[in-house]
Amino acid sequence: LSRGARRKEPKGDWKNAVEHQLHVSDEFRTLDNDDAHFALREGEGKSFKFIKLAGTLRKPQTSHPEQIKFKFSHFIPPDFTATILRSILNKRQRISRPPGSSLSSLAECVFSKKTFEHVVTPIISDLQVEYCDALAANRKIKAAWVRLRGYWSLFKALGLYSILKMFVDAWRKISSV
Amino acid sequence: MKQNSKREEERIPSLSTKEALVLDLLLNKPSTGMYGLELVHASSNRLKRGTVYVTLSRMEEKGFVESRQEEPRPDAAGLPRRLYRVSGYGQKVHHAYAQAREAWRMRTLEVGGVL
Repeated sequence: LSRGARRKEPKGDWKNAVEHQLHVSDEFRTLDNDDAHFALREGEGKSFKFIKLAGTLRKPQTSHPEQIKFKFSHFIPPDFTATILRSILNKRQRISRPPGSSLSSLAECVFSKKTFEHVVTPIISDLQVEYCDALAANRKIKAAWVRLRGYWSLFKALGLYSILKMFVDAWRKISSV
Repeated sequence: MKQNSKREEERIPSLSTKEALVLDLLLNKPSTGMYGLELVHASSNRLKRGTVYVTLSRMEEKGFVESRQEEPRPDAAGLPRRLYRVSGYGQKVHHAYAQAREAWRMRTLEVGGVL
């Protein structure tokens, strides 16, 4: 076997596990760790061809799902696999943007730097802190309320409330005439 | 320019009730300073979330308070917040306001006693 194309060796007592699960030949048992690893890597996906050519491994006696399980269990940590599968199956694990981030970008374009730094940013930062605290305490209704209240505070602070009120008053006067 | 600065110095500083309340609260924590939301909580909702930052911004323009951006921490959630603390000028104005308020209270008491 050539030693030139070696790859990173997996951790743990993996050679014993291979010998236990695949019923390997006596030749395989005599190989050192590096050569055994190389032999297995070459055999991945084309194991029967490899067995014929190299003559070091016999046909595995394990079933197909067990082979897959063996491959994954030795090259990917099981906790990591479980986390990925859980995140795919459970959509609640998704990470979204914090509330007010879009408003913040919009306000940065519309208002002056001073207004943005002294009024908009602190309100949005308070909103995000309170929102995260509520979510950390698993209080989703409170989080939604905090979000609404934060948007309302921003709306009021930027004087839009007075502009809207002016329009409403004007409309009432027009409609009463 | 000199005339303008002289006029600024001669002008009597104005302090609204809300601004006086903010100075009161900030003077309770003069070393560390306070966030806007902290001020709202400490004022037992006499200050509103929507207006506290407008008030603080106006006070900063007048020179009563100073502010600085909080240093971003990896464990903290959200954008970095702004910390406010009373300036030296703000302390003087607050002291003068407290004296004026006390004098006014004594005066009303006297008038009440005479009547």
